Amino acid sequence: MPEPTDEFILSLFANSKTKEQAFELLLKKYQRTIYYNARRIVTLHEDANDVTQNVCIKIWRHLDKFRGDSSLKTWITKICVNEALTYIEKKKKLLSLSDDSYTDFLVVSQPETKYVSPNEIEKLLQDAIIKLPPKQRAVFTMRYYDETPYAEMSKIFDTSESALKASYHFAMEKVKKSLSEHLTF
Amino acid sequence: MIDIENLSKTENYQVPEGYFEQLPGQIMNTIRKERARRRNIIFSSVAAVALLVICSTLVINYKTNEAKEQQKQIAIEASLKSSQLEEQMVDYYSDELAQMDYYNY
Repeated sequence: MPEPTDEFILSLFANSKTKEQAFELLLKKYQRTIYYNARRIVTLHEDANDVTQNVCIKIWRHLDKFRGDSSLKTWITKICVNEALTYIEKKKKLLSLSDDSYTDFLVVSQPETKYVSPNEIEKLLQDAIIKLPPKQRAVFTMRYYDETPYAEMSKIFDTSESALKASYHFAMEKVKKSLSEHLTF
Repeated sequence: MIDIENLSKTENYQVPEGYFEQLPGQIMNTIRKERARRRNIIFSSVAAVALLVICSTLVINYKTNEAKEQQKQIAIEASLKSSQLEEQMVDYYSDELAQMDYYNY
């Protein structure tokens, strides 16, 4: 069965009788995008699950206000990034942790089986990414794994393309430095 | 020398089994509960406002009727007083007239 188009989902959502059906289609289409974007930022599955639920409820409440200035995926990703960054700030406050101690907390909280990758280098790469500040981590992963265009990222982060390029560059330097402590490039 | 850009760009995050199959259902349940809760809040608010309007109308009607009754009572008392005064005046002048008639004879 082909994936429904955004236009089709939005037209169903506009009708009160088919609103729930439309939202189920939207969830099936975008749940992985939401979850993995959240997971990259908050790292732990339980936190990513909380963020995903919050994001979906926000989408439900505000989808009728979506004006189509960007693609639906960009709009959803923007909500997701903001929600995940807010979630981290709240959690840091709740646990009374500084940025550094929160990173340590994430590293310690990771279960041993956090990645199923058999490749040790990839595992080290993931560990290096966890140590990046949350927003930089979001920029880095979005660019590195998804190769999201800077123009689209600019809409998601409300930041200029040049600032995002600089952020990605600095993140890459940090990741390389972290990896070089374990490997010789 | 390993180039980071040449590493496999796949994230292998571990997710509980069947997570993505259950997630839409869980979220739809949360949304349905929230919709039901909102409907209840709206219904309760409307019922509370309606009750308030009915009670206010009853109280206002009661007060208005009470005021009307008081006004009626005052009017009745006033008219009674004036009719008594009238009677008294009639009696007085009747006596006066009777006396005048008596002297005239």
